[in-house]
This record gives sequence, C-alpha cells and structure tokens, in this order.
Amino acid sequence: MIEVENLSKRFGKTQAVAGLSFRVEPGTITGFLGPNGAGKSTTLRSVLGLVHPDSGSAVVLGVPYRGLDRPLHQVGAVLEASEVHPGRTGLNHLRVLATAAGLPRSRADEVLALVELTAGGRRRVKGYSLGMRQRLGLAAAMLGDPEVLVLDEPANGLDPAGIRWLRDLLRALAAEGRTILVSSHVLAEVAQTVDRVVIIHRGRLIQQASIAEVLAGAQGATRVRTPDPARLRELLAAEGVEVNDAEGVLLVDLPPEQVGEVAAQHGVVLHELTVERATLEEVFLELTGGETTE
Amino acid sequence: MIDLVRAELLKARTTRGWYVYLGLIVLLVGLGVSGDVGTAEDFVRGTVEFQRGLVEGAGFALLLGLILAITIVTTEFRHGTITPTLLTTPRREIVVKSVGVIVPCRNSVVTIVIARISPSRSANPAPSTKPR
Repeated sequence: MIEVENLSKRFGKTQAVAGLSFRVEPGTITGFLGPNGAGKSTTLRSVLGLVHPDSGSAVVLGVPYRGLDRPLHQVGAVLEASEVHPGRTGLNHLRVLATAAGLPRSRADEVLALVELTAGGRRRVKGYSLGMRQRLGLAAAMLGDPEVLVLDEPANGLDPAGIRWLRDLLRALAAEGRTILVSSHVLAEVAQTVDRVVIIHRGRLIQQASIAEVLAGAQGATRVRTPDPARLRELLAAEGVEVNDAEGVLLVDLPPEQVGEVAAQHGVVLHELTVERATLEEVFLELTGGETTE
Repeated sequence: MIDLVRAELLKARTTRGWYVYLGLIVLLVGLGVSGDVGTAEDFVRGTVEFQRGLVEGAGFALLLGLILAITIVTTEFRHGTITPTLLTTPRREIVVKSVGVIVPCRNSVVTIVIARISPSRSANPAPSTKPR
C-alpha cells in the first residue's frame, strides 16, 4: 500500500505539490494523471525517498521509503528509461543492481526473460531502442519481486504489441495482490489498464475514484438518429429539452429512456438511441481546464 | 555495505571506461618514470635515492585516483544511475562510504602495479651506488 498524506513540496518560487493526499490499495492498478507541471514526478520521487517533502508524508507499506529494510524486495520503480550507463550491457546493469541488493546474479537473467529482453541482454544499452530501455527498467523494478510497483510512464516508447504486453503484465501482477501506481500520458491506454485513477492539477488532488466512477460521472448526451429529426426536435423542444444537431444526429440533453418515451408517444421512428460516453481524455481535460498531460 | 562495495566493483569491471582509465594511468606514470630513467646518467640510475624517487613518482597515481573518485560520483549523476543506486540503497551516507572504501583499494592496486612495472623494467641494475 502507498499512502500520501498532506504532502507539500516547494522548489524556489514554484509550489510543486500542495497538500496532496491519496492512497493506493493492494491488488489494484492506479493511474496517476496530471498535466505538465502538476507535480506527478515530485510526488513519485517523494514516495521513493528521492525528494524530501517540506511537509506531510509519503509512506510505502507503512513506512517511509528510506526506512524500508530491503527496498528492492519491497518496492520496484521505473522513473526514467535513461537512468542506465550507456556503455554497460543490460544484463550487467541488472547484475549490478542485484549485487547491491544482495540478490543472486542469476535473478538478472530471470527478470530479463520476464520482460522478454533476453536476446538483447548482452548488448550495450546505448544501442537499445526506447522500448528496450523501458523493458530494462521494468526488469530492474522486478528484480526483488516487490509487493509495490511505482512506474513513471512505463508505456513510453513501446509499440502497440509492447503496450499490450505491458497491460497484460501489470494485470497479472495486480492479480497477485501487488500495489501498482502508474503515471502515463496515454490516457486511452490508462483507461484500459487501470482500476482507479488519481488526478492531480497544480499539486493538488482533483479526483480519486475508480475508472468506472470517473467515466460514469461524465456521461454525455443521448445520441439519437431518426428519419424525421425535425419532428423529434420540435417535440423535445416543446418539453423544454436542449437538442443539438451533429452531422445528421441529434444530441439530446435527456436520458435515453425519456427520449424513447417521447418518440414512442408520437410515433417517431428511431434508428439509434445511445448514450454518448465521455472518454477519459475528455474527463481529464474538463477536470484540468484543458491542460495536456506530460 | 559489503553488497554495495561489491556492486561498485562490478560496475568498474563492466564498462570499458575504467579499463581505458587504468591504461591511461599506467601509460602516463610509465612515460614519466621512463623519461626519468632515460635521461639520467648511468651512475645516478643505480643509486637507491634515484630508484626511491621513481617509486615515489608512481605515487602520482594517487592524484589520478582522486580524479577517479570524483569521476565515480559525477558519472552516477551524468548518466542518472544515481537514481537506481539510491533506490537500492536509500541511505545516502552508505553510498558515499562505499565509494570511500573502493577508491583507496583501487588506488592501492594501481600504485602497486605502476611501482612494480615501471622502475624494474626501465632502470638498469647497477652493481653499486658508488659514482664512476
């Protein structure tokens, strides 16, 4: 479990994080979203003991990261794919980390196989693609078979097959009861992968909820197609309902059940009656005032 | 801390830079010592004082060792490898101590290698320390 409580951090005149609180439960994948400069990286680095917060706390498994007995066995992290010596092979990079953590060097081969990078393990990292570096980062995070994973943009540089592989891997890891916090700017991908989201903006919490709750709360208009749109529009307008035209489709600000009842009462034929679902991206942009993600 | 020291030693063995660095130290000190030997008169080369001076000259490696220590730390920051290091060992004082253990060890090895190779190969053995 990860618990962030009233976390604040200022860099000079910039308030990076301001009284942020949220909790990440075991067995779930939680998406951590926010526009550029929202404070995501500072928060993740605070969770991992790399940044000292000015106030508040960030604890993992009940203790601050620096208080963990065997950090690599308890928490795995991917922060940036470039945090590897380019002249070292991927396998040796993992062996160095395994040695420092008191793990057998054979563990490096195991995690390389886990991330399907065995073939590239003996190549120098400077020859890696971004996707290979991401896989290497994930391998490093999995070295100690940790209970908690903190991943910053793990899908960066992965091709569609790689993204699908990552999604399946994270799902499998969460199903084992691990706690996974993942930041990503690929919102469509986040919507398919995560169970819950934490959305922050200007260092403050905007929303923390399950992905289903977030999308349900942003339910859009009812989409109606009919061979007689003018008549239906007239009928709905008489009821005081707002109707918009969009390329031959009526967008009605009324639940589909009520639209259907009005149409049935007046014998209007309907070809389509659906609810327009807002995407996570639309919800995100609405919550953050249109600012884009990192 | 032992694990961290072992990891630091493994780091040194798994990049080309350190071998280039070691070769450079041996080359520079070797050239310096060879220069001394080559320009000295025969009777001087045979003196104990001169040979002691050569060994002390090999101590130049200590200065290069200091640069090595600085390089270890700056390399961590340049390539961002300080982050995985601190994630593995969150207590920074232990990381600094491990560097403090490794650098003198490496310096000793380098100094012994240079002191062993350069003078013994370059200097002519002299039957006595008495000038001719």
